[in-house]
Order: sequence, then structure tokens, then C-alpha cells
Amino acid sequence: MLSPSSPREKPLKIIRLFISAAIALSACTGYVSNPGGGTITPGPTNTDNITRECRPVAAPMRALTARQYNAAVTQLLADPSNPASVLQVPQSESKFDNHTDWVNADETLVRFYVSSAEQLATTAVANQAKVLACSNPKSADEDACLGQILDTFGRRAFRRTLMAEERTAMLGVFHTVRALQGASWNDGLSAVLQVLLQSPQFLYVTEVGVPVAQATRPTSRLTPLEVATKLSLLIWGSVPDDALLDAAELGQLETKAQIETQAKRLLADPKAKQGFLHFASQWLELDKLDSANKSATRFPTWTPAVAASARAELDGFISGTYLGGGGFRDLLLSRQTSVDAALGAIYGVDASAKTLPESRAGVLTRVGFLAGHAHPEETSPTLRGKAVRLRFLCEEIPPPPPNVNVTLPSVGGQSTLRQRLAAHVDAASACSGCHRFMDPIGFGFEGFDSIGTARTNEPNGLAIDNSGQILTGAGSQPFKGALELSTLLADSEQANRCYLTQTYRYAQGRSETSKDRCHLDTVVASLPAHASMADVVVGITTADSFLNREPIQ
Amino acid sequence: MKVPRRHFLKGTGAVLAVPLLESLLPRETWAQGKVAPRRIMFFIQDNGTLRDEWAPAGKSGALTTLPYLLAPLEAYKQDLVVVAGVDNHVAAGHNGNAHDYGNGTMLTAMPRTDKSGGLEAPNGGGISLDQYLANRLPKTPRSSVNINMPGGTFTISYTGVQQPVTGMRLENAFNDLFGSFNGSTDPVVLARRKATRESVIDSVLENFKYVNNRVSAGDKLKLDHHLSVLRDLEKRLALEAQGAACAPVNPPIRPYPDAAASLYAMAFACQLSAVGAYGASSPEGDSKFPDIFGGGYHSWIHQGPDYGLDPVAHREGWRTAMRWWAGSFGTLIQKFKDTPDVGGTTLLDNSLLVWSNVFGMGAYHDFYEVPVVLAGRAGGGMKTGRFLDYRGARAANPTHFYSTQYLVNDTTNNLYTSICQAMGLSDVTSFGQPEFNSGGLPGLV
Repeated sequence: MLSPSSPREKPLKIIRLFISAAIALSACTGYVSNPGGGTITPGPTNTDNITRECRPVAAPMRALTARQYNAAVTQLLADPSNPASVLQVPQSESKFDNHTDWVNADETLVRFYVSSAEQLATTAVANQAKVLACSNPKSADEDACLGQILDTFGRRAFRRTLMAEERTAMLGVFHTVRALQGASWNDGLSAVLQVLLQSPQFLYVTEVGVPVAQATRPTSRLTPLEVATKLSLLIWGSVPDDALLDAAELGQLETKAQIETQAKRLLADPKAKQGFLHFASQWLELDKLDSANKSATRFPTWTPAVAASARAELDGFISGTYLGGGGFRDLLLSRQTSVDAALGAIYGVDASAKTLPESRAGVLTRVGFLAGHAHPEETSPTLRGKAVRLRFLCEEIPPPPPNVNVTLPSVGGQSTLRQRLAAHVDAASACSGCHRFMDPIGFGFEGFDSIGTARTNEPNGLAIDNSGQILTGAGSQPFKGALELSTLLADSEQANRCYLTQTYRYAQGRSETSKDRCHLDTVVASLPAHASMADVVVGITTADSFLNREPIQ
Repeated sequence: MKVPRRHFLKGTGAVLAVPLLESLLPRETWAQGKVAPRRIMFFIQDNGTLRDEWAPAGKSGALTTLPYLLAPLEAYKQDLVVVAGVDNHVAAGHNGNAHDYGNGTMLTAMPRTDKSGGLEAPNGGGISLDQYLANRLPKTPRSSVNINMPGGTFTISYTGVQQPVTGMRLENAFNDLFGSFNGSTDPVVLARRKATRESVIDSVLENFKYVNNRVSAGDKLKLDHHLSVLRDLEKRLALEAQGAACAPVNPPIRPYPDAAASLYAMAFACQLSAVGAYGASSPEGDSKFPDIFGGGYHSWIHQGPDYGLDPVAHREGWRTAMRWWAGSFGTLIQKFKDTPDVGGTTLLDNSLLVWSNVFGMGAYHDFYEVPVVLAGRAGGGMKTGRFLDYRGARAANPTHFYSTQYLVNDTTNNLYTSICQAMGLSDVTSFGQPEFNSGGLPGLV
């Protein structure tokens, strides 16, 4: 379905309208300079782009994210303490957390690296017989035992076999500490583990590559070990396992076929589930549900437990669709579900239900999405419409300009939210420049209240109007209800490409630059119609854009 | 809430008398004539205030009557300086998300380098006041204690342009700050621990060369920064090892204002640090005030103070929330009052507590007439019991919310210059963006 040649019933019209939308949005975003950061002008793929060689893009060094750090120590030391959860790492809401090229190694973070390494090493030393390759040696065997640990744990931490001088230095640290008054094997071992866990080889992901000799323009190819790390961070959100490091070091991670084989192996591993959910939770803003407040007077049945059920249902649906070979289309249109009684009550089904009622399908009409994108008492057509623009159409909407009264006029008497929001979309108001791109989409969700219950009336009895439109510069694409919107998006080339773009941003660990359009065209063209979400991942990992970079000057 | 000192300052096996505590903390400043170091803490509220009834009545002078919103601070009137009319001038005319722009400018007093907001990394225009003071005040084991409550949008502290400071979570801050104080007191064990740490860090420092010589020039700068922070940290960790006798008891985790107040008082009393910034939050730590209006503080603020079918009740909800904030600041003041410091003084005598806000009027998320309340005498640097009104001409028209007329003399730049002077840095005559400075807020210091 990602291919422009894939036969669809009505995509052409939609595509044209969406192209206009992008143009109109750039008028709304007139004062936002975001070259390449968000809006990708959609449209039929330019075949010139496919045949010509795309320019390679620089790959900035990245720090392991808090999530990746936690996943790595869980995987490497069987330590489930999630130590990095203590940090409040500053983050930009509109970027993925692995876009860490700007992270500031300040005193708090560096101190965390020190104290966390001390704690992890203490625990690992205590459990050395279980978590390390060698433990409690006789004094004559200590060097050999440490060597084994460097070959296993050390290699996993540095994501490559240690160089001879690194090994020598580690042995040096061991002997220095071992020689201190009252020190034992355990003290020396702890020191070595701490060094490994604090070192830049562990904490930073670099993609340096080696120059490609016969390239038409300067290009560096990532080393197989760099590919291994990039692959596992994408699919697992964690560091490579031994098999992946073995493949890289044995020359079995060089051809695209070999990379595809490993990508598929990683996708079949249980760690792929959390890896994808971590991506999807950011892409679809699922965490908004966790911090959503609901009015206890208006929604007495809404409890933290119901919110947790809604999140679990959404997570289960998303990961099940992904791991079950589903595509972006299924994510928008599948009715598969698994609910408990409380969540089922909101859906109007019982706990044994395996499908949603016919008024719902896909992520957009599920409680987890609807409740996360709504205010405590009322819905929010703005938040819901904005999520569609930003997450499904890859169009940035700027925040309100300065010195504008962003409070809505108080409307007395009987009115619907739609009527009160008229000020947002009234062409005469300053708000409409941007809000006309969000609210009319969100109006299509008005058939679901703040916690996602289906409704035909507002609490004051007034009838709901759930007609919506995707406004464009040239016209608009009308639709009736969120389900019809989901179908429009599933059929839209722009939305399908946007899905791919979001995965690409996460895979690269950076926002795309102007050079990436060509790369995205290439990946789109390489994928079959009805590509599954797993196909998209594999397609991205085997493309030159994943494997090459602009050489470091 | 009043908590006896012994509840949180406890020695090994016995409650420590203050002189003993002093003798166990051989800080430079203490050794040299028993002069207490000056400490400063920023208590930062989000989402603005109810500006039209926030400031005290009357003219600048002695602080006599507190307005209703500040009345929970009545017991501390003689410890306060209420400062009205300070504008975050550098944020004027910003484009972009007001939260992002406010966070990036509020303590830096420097414009952000980007104008788009939201789409960029957390972006400060320069070094923030807390980090500047941390660099200038005598070296402590921690340069600063930065805690950002979850759910807020706080990224207020920066070590430089686009260099946001990583925050700690309050739930974990106690262990992070004081965890190393627990455990063995055997000098052999302590010596071994210290030597091990030195060996480990030296080895890690060496390892940077394996990455450093392969990456781009820009990435190398980041690694060099990491390297220099680690070198500096090595010295601070050595200082920290001297403070091992100050063994505080775990403070409560909730309610958050009490827990944060205890934690900062302990960190300052133990001289772990002299600088703190707390991105404060509501009782539930997530910008929720469920008892007042059922949650959704931020969207509720956006509705304005006189919203809905019952505007009177709605405004009363605002008032209750704003008084809750005042009460929280009072909790902090009380904790500092209750905490003994050098030579029979209290921590409040030697500290400056700065209660400020990212915004002025909450409903508009704007940047002028930001509410500022100072508490404490800063070791003699600040005279308290005063009201200072810098609102000037606009005070006559307090409902004129959308004025873009910012009065240059009344900038946060000048406030921060005065704060530096109050902290003993008399050489500071300007802070942040140079042209918004005129030497400090007249009459404050």
C-alpha cells in the first residue's frame, strides 16, 4: 500500500487534497522555520529520485537514552532495577526520545553514571555466579577469570570485542584496586564493571563508518558492528545480543540479505514487543493517557484502573497488530480487542469480546487514544485534530502566537462544544489561521466523549454533530465520524508515507533533513503494496540511508 | 508543618548537637571564622498567577498587609520581600510555545536562539541564574540540587546555550543525595572506597580517547564537555566523602511540598550544596489539584479566572489554588526557620528563597508582572519585611492584560543582578541579555 502504483479506490482525490493541505499549512506555519523537520510535501513518488543516488546524511553521535540504558543493564546483567528512571531528562515533546544528539552531559547525568555503575556493579558482584561468565576464582586464576568476563560482559557493554589496550587497562584497574588494603577479588571485579558501565564506549552510540572507495560522492559505510547496534536499538530498544555481535564480527552482517535475516530474527524475539511499543507510544502520544485527568463528578466510573486497562488494550492491540504481520491499514481499521469488564462497559461489550463494536476500529476510536486527547470534562477537537495532523499527516502545527488571549469566550446558555469553538475556526478570528486545520478534523470525533464513550448528545441534551473535514488550501475533504476518517487515512498515500517517516525518524535517531526526502522516496518504492509494519522496519534497515552516512570531515 | 530538627538530622546512633555537626563538616567557610555560607533556592511555580489580585495594596515600603492570595504567609511577613512588577523582558515578542519559551528564558534572562519553540530541544538562551551562582559560590559536593516534578514542563536550568540541566525526581533525590552517607565507617573501608573510585574515574577518563578520536568535531565537543564534568565531579566526590557524618533520616515522599522542603533544608544544612532549583508542583506532583476542581490544572488555568456559568465560583477555585502555592512556600520557609545553622543562626538567616513563576497572568501565559516573593536574609544580604512595587504606569490599569509595553528597568535581568549582589557577589552589575540591565532593581539590595 505504500507503493504509489498500488491500486486503491479513491486515493487520487485524497492525495491531491492532502497536497494542498500541506501548502496551506505552511502558510499557517509562516513564522515557523522548520526546514525538513516536519512537513514533507507529499505526492506521487518522483521516479528520478529512485534511480539517482541519494546524498548521504550525517549521523550524529547519540547518548543511550534512559530507556535504552535500562534495557541494556536488564539484558546484560539481568538487573531489572531500571536505574535511569530516577532521571528527568529534558526532552522535546515533538521528537523521539532517541534524538539525543543534544543531550547535555551535565553534573547530574554524569553523577548518575557514576553512582548507577557503583550500584549495578555491587549487585552484579553479589550475583556473579549467576550473571557473569566466570565467578569467585582461586587467586591464581583471577586474571583468566577476568579475561572471560571481558570477553563476554565487556564485549556486550562495548558492543564489540575489546581492543588489546583496553583489556590491558582493565586488568590494570583490577590489579590497582585488588592491591588496596583489605581488598578482594570482588573489589577488583566491581571496579572493572564500573569502568565498563561508565565508559563512553558503553554510553554513546557512534556511527563513524569507513569510506566507500567507488562511491560517486563521498560516502561512508557503517561498520557491521555499528549496523548491529543501530538494528537492535531500533527493533528492541536495547543493545545487541551475542548472536548479533557474532554475525557482525564474523562478516555476516554486510549484505542486505544478511541484515534482513538478522532484522527478522530480532523481530521474532520477545524483546521486539517492548521495542515497538516504545516507538508507538511516542508516535501516537499514548503517554498522554497516563497523565490525563478526568472530572470525578462527570465521569465517576473513570478510575486509574480503567485508564490502565485502556492503555493495556491499546498496547496489546498495537503490538499484536505489529507482531501479527499487520500493516498501517490494520492499525487504523482492525477491530480486534481484548478488554476487561470495566473497559468493556465503556465500549458496550462484555469482557469476552474479541472485536470492538462496529462504530469503532483501529487506534483512533479506542478509549486510550480518545481519553488521552481530551480535557477533564470536555472533549478536545483541537487536541484530537492536532494529533491527526502531526502524527498521521506529518504536518507541524505551531503553538499559539504571543500575547493572544487563548481562553475561549464564555458562552452562556445552551451550546455545544462545537459551537463554542466557533471562535477558533471563524475566518475573522486570529485563531483560525491554524485552528481550521485542527478543530474540523477533531469535530469528527465528537461522537466520543472525554473518556471515549460513544454518544449522540452532549450532557446538556444537545445533539452531537460529528461531521468533520480535512481542510486544505484548495478545498476540503469532508467525512462523517472518526471511523470514516480512519478509512480516509488508511487509503491516503500521505498518511502511509507519514507512518514510514515516523519509523524512519526513530530508526535514524534524528529528525530528517532536506536530503532525506530522496531516501524516503527510495524506501517507499522498495516496499510492496500492503507492506506490514514489520516490512517497513526491514525496508528501512536494508536501505542505503540506514547503512551509509556522510563521511566525517 | 513543623518538624523537630532531630527528625531529619541524625548522627550515627545519636542525635547530633549542632556544634558537633559543625566540627564534623570541616568546610573552608566554617573553619575560617565560622561564617555561614549563603545559600539560595528557587521555588518555581508554573502556569502563572491571578495577577489582578496578587500584589499587596499600597506603595513600596514596609510590608504591612498581605493580599488574600498571599495571606497563608502571614506568619512570615517579617521574613519576606514581596516584589511586584518584574517583567521577563527577553520573552517579549516570542513566537512559539509559551511554556518552552518561558522555561528557556525565565532563569537565563537571555532570549532563546530559536523562535519556533516546541519543535526544538529544550533550549535555554544561556546559563541560568542558579547555575551561574553554583559556579560562583564556594565549591560544594553538589554544584546544585535540581528537582523537576513530573507532569510539569520545567526545564528552567541550563549550564549554557541549549544545555539543559538534567533533573532529579523527588522520590529518588534522597538516595541520590545522601545514599553514600550510609554504610561503613571503618576507615580502611572508606579509604578503599575512595581509592577505588579514583581508579575507576581515572580509567574512564582515559577511555574517552577511544571515542574522541573518531567522531566529528561537534561530537568531540560534547565528549570534551562530559570529560570536564567528570573531572570536576571527581573533586566534588572527594569533598562529599568528608561529609559522611551528616546522616539525615529519610524525609516523607508526600506531600510533595513538605518532602521537598525537608530535602533542600537537609542538603543545605549538611552543606552538600548551596544552590537549589525546584520545579514545584501540586500536591499530587502532576499539576493536579483534584481537591479543588477535579484535575486538569493547566487547562483550567487556560479557561481564565471568570469562566463558565458560575464565574464567581470559578475565580474562587483560582484563589484556592494560588493560596495553596503560598502555603507551600510557607512550608519551605518554616523548614528553613527550624533548621539550625552556624553560630546559633537558622538556615533561613543565611538563605535566600526565591518564589517565582514562569508566567505572569496564568490565563494568558504571558511574561510580565511575574509574581516574585523572596524570603530569608541571605546572610545579611537581604533586608526583609518589605514590599517593593515596580509596576509603574501599568499599575493604574491592571486589567490591561495584553500590553506589549515592557518596562526595561523592571526586568528579570535587574532582579537577578540584585540577587547576585545579595548573595555577596558585589562585582555583578549585569545578568543575561546586556541591554535589559540597568545595574539591578533600585532599592532591592
